[in-house]
Amino acid sequence: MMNERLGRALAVLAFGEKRKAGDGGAVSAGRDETVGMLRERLRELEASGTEGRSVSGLPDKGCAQDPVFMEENADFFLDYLMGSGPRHACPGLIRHINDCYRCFEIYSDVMRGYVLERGSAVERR
Amino acid sequence: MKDVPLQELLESCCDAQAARWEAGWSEFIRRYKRFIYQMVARTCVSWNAARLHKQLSETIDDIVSDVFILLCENHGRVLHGFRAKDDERLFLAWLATVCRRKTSRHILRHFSSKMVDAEAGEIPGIVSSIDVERRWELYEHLVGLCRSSAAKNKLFMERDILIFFLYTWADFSTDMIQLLPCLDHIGHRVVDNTVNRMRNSLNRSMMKEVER
Repeated sequence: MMNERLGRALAVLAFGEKRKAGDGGAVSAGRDETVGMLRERLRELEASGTEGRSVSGLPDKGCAQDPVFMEENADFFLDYLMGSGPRHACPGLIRHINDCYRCFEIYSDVMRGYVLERGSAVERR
Repeated sequence: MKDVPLQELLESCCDAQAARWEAGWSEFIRRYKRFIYQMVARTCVSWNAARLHKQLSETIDDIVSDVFILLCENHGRVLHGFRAKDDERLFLAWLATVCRRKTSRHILRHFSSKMVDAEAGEIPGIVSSIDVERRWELYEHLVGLCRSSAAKNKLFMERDILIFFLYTWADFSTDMIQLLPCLDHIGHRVVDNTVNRMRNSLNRSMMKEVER
């Protein structure tokens, strides 16, 4: 659930800005806080020029230790969804998800939240 | 043969001479059948295998028979491979590993064929019926089967595996998959075609596995 919430907050950050003026009440205070934190973190990543680098730590095969790569790794998802670099890392990323069940679970939870929220944001526009 | 040391007992079980072989195995069964049964039962329970179609006891009986066949076949080739024949504690640890592996393989095969036969919407229910700590084993087993079956067509293999698992295991719709940054370029029918192709390849791989 926590991962799905992260995905929803990322979608609000990416697509929800336009509807916020008319539909702000629909977004819970908790989510607003998460979105605010993510926005701040994205600014930091952009300012420090580290955007796109968070996928560089992606293990070649499955994650050998805890916590696994994607666990509580909002930087990775910010890069993946809003950065410019990570798309080039897609083949390696896909291979890693296939190799690491725990990352597959986290990825699918976050992305479920993201695409569902993105879908409803697009519908509301 | 009641009091024979372990080494002699194992040698009898691997002996081609019928009388010695029979005596060896009846003593082996007397000493270790209960242990084998317990190890298999414990592993089945850890998989939450009571949700297998058959009764749990029937499943356990089938696997116990498989363990004995494995130990017996080819004049006890597997038993012969155990080195520390003078150490009963090591033997029990080894036997427990044999039982766990055989049980897990049996259950993985069962759940794999169940997942291939099931409708996509039923698969998340099958996954959630398996113990949380065991799901990764089924995932890795299926990914391995997908890779071995797709050996001739490697170009989109990893992408296809991800699409298959998102659609079946994680219950994503085609539209949801097409919104993912790594997969947003795929055509409309790619998901359906990929899932059907992966199912067929998995079926073929599983048939080969059974034949082996």
